[in-house]
Amino acid sequence: MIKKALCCVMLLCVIFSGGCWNYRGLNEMSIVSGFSIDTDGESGELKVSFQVVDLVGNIQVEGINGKLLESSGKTAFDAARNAKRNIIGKLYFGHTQLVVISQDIARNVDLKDTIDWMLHDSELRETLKIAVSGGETAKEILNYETILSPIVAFDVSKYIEEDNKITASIPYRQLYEVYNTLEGEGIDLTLPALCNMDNNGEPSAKLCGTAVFKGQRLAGFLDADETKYLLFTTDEIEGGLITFPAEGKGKDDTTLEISKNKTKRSFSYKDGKLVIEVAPETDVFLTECKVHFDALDKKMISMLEQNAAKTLAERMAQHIGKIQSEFGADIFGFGNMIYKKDHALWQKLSADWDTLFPELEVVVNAKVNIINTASIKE
Amino acid sequence: MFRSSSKKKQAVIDEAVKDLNEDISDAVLVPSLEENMAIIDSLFQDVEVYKTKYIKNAHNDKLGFCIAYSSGVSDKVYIGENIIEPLSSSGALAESGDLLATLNDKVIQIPDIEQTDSLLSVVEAISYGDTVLFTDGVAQALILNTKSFIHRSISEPESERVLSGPREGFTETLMTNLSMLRRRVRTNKLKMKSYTLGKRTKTICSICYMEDVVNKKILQELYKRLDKIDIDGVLDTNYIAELVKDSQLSPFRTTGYTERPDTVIARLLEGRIAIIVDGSPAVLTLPFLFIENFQSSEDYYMNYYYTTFSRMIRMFGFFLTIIVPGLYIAIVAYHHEMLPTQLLLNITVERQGVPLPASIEAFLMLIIFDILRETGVRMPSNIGQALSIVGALVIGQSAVEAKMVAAPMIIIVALTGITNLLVPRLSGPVIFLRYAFLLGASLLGFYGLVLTTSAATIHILNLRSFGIPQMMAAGNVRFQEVKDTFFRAPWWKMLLRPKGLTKNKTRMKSGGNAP
Repeated sequence: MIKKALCCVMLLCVIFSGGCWNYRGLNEMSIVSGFSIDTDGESGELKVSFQVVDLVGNIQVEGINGKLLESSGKTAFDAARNAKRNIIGKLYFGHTQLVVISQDIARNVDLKDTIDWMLHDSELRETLKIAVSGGETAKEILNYETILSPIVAFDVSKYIEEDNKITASIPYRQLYEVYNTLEGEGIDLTLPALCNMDNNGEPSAKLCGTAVFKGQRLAGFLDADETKYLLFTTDEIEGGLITFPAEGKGKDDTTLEISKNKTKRSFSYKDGKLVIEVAPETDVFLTECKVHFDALDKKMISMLEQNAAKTLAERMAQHIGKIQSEFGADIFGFGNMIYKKDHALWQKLSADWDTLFPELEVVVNAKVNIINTASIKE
Repeated sequence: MFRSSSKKKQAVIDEAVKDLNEDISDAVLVPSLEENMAIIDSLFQDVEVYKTKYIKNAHNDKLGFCIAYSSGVSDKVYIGENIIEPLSSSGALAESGDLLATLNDKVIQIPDIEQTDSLLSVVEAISYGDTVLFTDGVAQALILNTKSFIHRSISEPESERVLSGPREGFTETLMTNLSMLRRRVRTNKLKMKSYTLGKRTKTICSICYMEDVVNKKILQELYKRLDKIDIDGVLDTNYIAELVKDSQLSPFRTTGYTERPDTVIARLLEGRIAIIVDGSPAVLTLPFLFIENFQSSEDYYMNYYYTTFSRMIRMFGFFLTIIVPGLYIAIVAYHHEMLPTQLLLNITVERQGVPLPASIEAFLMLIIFDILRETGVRMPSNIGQALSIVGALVIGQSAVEAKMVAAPMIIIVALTGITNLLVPRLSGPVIFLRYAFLLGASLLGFYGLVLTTSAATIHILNLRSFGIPQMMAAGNVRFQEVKDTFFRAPWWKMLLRPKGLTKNKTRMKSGGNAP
C-alpha cells in the first residue's frame, strides 16, 4: 500500500515538475518572420518593425503575404509587447529568421545591448541572422517585396545562408556566433550588410557586402568584392569566383570557380617582430578563359595557375592593408589565433593589440590548382 | 383424487430426474435393460432427436438389446448395417459365454468401441453422435462410434490470407482440424491429448505439442491453469485464452491464435503448445512472444529480403498508428519550433477559422474514425457503399470545406487508420495506447508523450506468457536471438529455435547449402 502511494506521489512529482508548457493553438498567434530596429527620431525610443506572416487573406489565390507591423517602446522587448495593442494574436518569434539593425543604432549603441533581449528570450532562436542595413533606415529593407516572395525576411535569410557557397559576398553570422565574437579576444565582428536596390523599377532587398565593427560599434562597410578576400583570409569561403587577367596584367578576362578552399594561417614571433602568414590553397574549375589555348596543355595550365595565385595574393594583401589602415579592426581574428595557439605571447601583446594590429606584417602565399577545365582532347 | 395422485407421481419422477440432472457423474448402470432405459429415457425427456430401438436376436430370443442414439449427428445407414443387422441375425449370439466379449469381437461391425458403466459417459456419448448399446442383464453399455456431422468445408481463413503458401484453414470440427495437423507431421512425437472443458458444454479440446521439443515445465503450468477453469461453456478459444492469461488486466494478448494449420505446425516445431477447441477454427498457441504480433506465416514462404522489409513496415506501422495523433498535437499545440517554417505556415493557414482547439479536434476525429471502423465490421455487407460515401465525402471532404475541422487532422486520422490495418493482431491494444498518448500530449506536450510512451514500454517489457518474457531482454543480444525479429534471416541462418521457448534449441546442425 505504502509502495503504491509512493509511486503515485512520485508520478505526480514527475508530472508537475516538468517545467511550464503552454498549450498554444496555431491560430492564436502571429508568426514573426523578421524584424528591424530603428531609432524613433522624435521621442528617442526604439522603433521596431515586425514583419508578420499574413495567413488570413485569400491564400489559395494570392499565396501567403507578409505585413509590416510597427511598434515603438523604450526597449526592443517593450516594443514587441506594445505591438500586441494593435494585433489579435501574440507575436510568436519561434520562427523568426532575420533581424536588421539600422546604421544609426549600430554606430551609436553597443551591439551587445541591442542583441541582449534576443539572447535572453526563450522563443528567439540562437541561429537567427543579424544584418546591418546599409540604407538610411532598417525598416526599408523589410518594407518592399523581394523579387519572388512578399515575405522578405525568410527570403533574405535564405540569401545569407547560401551566399558563402555561391557568391561569397557577405560573412554568414548567426546570433550565437555574433555573441561569441563580441566576447572573444583579439577578434572584431563583421556582419552582412543589406541594402535596397532598384530592380526593374521597384526596390528590392540585396546583399551588399560587409559591415565592419570595431569593438561594439559599427566602423564602416566593405563592398561585395572586398568581402571575398576577407572570407579568403578568414578561411570561410566555400564557393564563388576568382577573376584575374590570364596573362598577368591588364583587365580581368578569366574566371575560375572555387571548388574547395583551405586557408592555412600561422604566425612567427622573433626578436619582438610579429609576422602573420596567410596561405590559401584553392581547388578551382576553369570556367571562362578569353585566351584561347589547348586546355590539356600543362604548361598553359600551370601559367594560369601561377597568374591566378599571384593576383589573388596581391589583392588579399591589398585588402588586408586597407583594413589595417582604414579601420584598425582585427576582423580576421589574427589576435584570436595567437590567443589560442600561444597564450603566453598573447598576454604580452594583448594590451597594445590596437596599436600593434595596423602595423602588422602580413605575408600572403596563395596557391591555385585548376582541377578541371571541362575540356577533352579531340 | 385421481388428479392429485397423478400429480404426486409426476412430482416424484421430476424429483428423481432433477437429482439426476444435477449430478449424474457418480451414477452407474444397473443389470436391467428396462431400468436402464427408463433412466435414460427420463434423462432425455423432451429431447426430440433422441431415439431408441429394441432389438431381438433371431437365434436366441432370451437376449434383449436396445440401442440409443441421436438422429442428425449419427449415421443411420451405418447403424442399420453394422449394428442392427448383425445384432438381429448373428448366429454367434446363440452360444453362451461372455456376452460383451462376443458382441465386441464377433457381432458388431464397428472399429471404434468403448465399454462403460458410467451413466455420465453414456449421456455424453448419445449427445455427441455415438450409439450406445444396452444389453439385458449386463450392467455395462457399449459406446459405438457412429458420429456423422455436417460441417463447413475447408477454405482459406479470411483473416490470414497469403499471397503464396498453403491456403488451408481450420474448420469448426475438431477431428478435421486434427487430421490437418497429423497429415503435416508424420511422427509419433506429435502428441494430441484430449481435455474436456465446460461443465455443461463438455467441449473437447486437444492439446498438441512435440514431445521432444516442448518445454515440459510450460506444459505442466498449462495443465495447472486448465485444471483451475470452472466455466459452464467454452465456445471459442478466446474463453480459454482469457482464463489462462498471465497479465489479466493487460490489453495485450499473452497467447497467440491462428486459423492456419501450417502456422500451428511451425509453432509446434519451435516448442510451443497448441490448444484446439472443438467448435472453433481459431487455435491457441503458447507461449506467445511479442514479436509474433508482427510475424506472418508468409514471411517464411517468400524471399527473405522482401519479408524482412515488410516486417519492418509492419513494426513501423504499429509505431505510427499509436503515436501519430499524439505527436501531431504535441507539435501543433506546444512545440511549434519543431516544424519546418513552411510546414508551420501551411498548417497555420489550414487552422485559421477552425472552431475547436487542435487536441479536442483530434479526440473527436479519432472517435469518429473508430465509429466508422466499428460500423464497417458490424453492418451487413450489402450496404457497405453507403458507409464509404458517408465516411469519405461527408466527414472527410465536407467537414474540411465547412471549416469544422482542419485538413491536416484528416490526414493524421487517415494515416492512423491505414497503419492500424498493418497490425490486425494488435488492433485492440492499439486503440488504448493511441488515446493514452494523445491525452498525454494534449496535457503536457512532448513531455507527456515521453511519459506515456515510457509507461507503455515498461508495461510491454513486463509482459510474460506462461513465465516467458514476451520481449527479449535488452542486453546481450546475439544473432541467433534476433534472427527472426526485426528481420527474417534466411533459413540457412536460423540454426536455433527461438530463445526461451524450449531447452532443445538446435533446429538444424548446419545451414546445408549455405554460402
